[in-house]
Amino acid sequence: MQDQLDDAHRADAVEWGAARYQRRERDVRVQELDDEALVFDVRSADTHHLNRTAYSVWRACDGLRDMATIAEGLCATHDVPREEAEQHVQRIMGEFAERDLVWPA
Amino acid sequence: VQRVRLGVVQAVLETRFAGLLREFAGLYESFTTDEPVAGEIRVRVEKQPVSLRHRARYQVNVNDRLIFEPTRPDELLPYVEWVTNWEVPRALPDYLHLHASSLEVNGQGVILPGDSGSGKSTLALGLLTRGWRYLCDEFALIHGRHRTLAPFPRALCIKRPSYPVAESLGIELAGRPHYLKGAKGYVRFLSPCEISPHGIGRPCPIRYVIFPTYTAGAEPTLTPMTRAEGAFALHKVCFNLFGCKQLGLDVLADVVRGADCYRLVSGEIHRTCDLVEGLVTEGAAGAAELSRQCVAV
Repeated sequence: MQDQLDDAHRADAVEWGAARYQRRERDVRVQELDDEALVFDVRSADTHHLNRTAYSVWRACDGLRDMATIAEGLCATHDVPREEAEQHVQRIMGEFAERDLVWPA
Repeated sequence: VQRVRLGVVQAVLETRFAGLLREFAGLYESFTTDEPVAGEIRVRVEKQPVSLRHRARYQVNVNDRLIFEPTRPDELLPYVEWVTNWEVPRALPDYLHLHASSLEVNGQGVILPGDSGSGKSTLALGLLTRGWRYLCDEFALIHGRHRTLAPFPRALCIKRPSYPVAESLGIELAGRPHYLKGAKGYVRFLSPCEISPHGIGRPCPIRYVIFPTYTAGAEPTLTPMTRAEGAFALHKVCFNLFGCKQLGLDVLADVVRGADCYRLVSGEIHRTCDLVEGLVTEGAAGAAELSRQCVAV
């Protein structure tokens, strides 16, 4: 039973790692401030503050790089272990999706 | 009729109430003008006819729109101020309007954004007694194209809980009339010339953005914010982010690019003013040293 669950988790992780997202470029206005950014969503009139980590993930969402690659990039630029980088990317992508700032490529 | 030119804002008060005109003229005696200009804010105060069903009421109109119907004469001056503020974003579409006190010192603009009760007016008053120059206690008006801070030296409004602080700064309040300002309770007004004896500030670039939060008994401390944090916090206190001719967010981003942003926990007024003055005169290192001294005391 445990083996089956572990296999399922591994399969989910592989699926998540292979996912690609495209950041929204229409109807958003981005103001880069040092290594952070404000993203203004013209449709909802909401403004989002992207800290250094979130902004680097946002920039990496080009529809070509998958999540595993983005997490790997975060390890290098932010000097964090792989597992922590994956957790950050997963959480940030969840927030982006909730705010309609990215979509699956 | 009393017409005043307050920095970039011109307003005219029309009323038959001699007492109200006298009080208004007393606050703004150095700012009166006879020349009407296009786009000036017209405030008219009149009395509603008494009927059997209604108590006597006053009507406070701005640019021919009825806004308030107060019942007491001591509410009139606060409502005149209130409707003038209300109309400023419409009268000045080229400016971004932030809820903030704004001051000028040595040609540098300092804005103190915050909601009502954050202590921005009291802090502004403390800094004015140290020779800083007044721009406004309720608004930071930022020109959309030039990104400069403009003066709108309306009378400074002191709420009743801040009377002792104002008196500790050497401001004589006894004998001045009290006014009732809605949910804010009783207030007193201070004339801009009186609180800014070194003159009203001139348009200037913004060098510091300081978000005060008053906490009784707290040690004053300044905490740096990133520019993005500063711009994000500024957008929350902006009245016309989408109404300004320039896109508001672009203006705010440019403002913070040229400014340092801080969170300020303000406590005892003199020490809080020492800290902010230290920041502006000696930079971040001076402020950090003063913060350490405050904590050590």
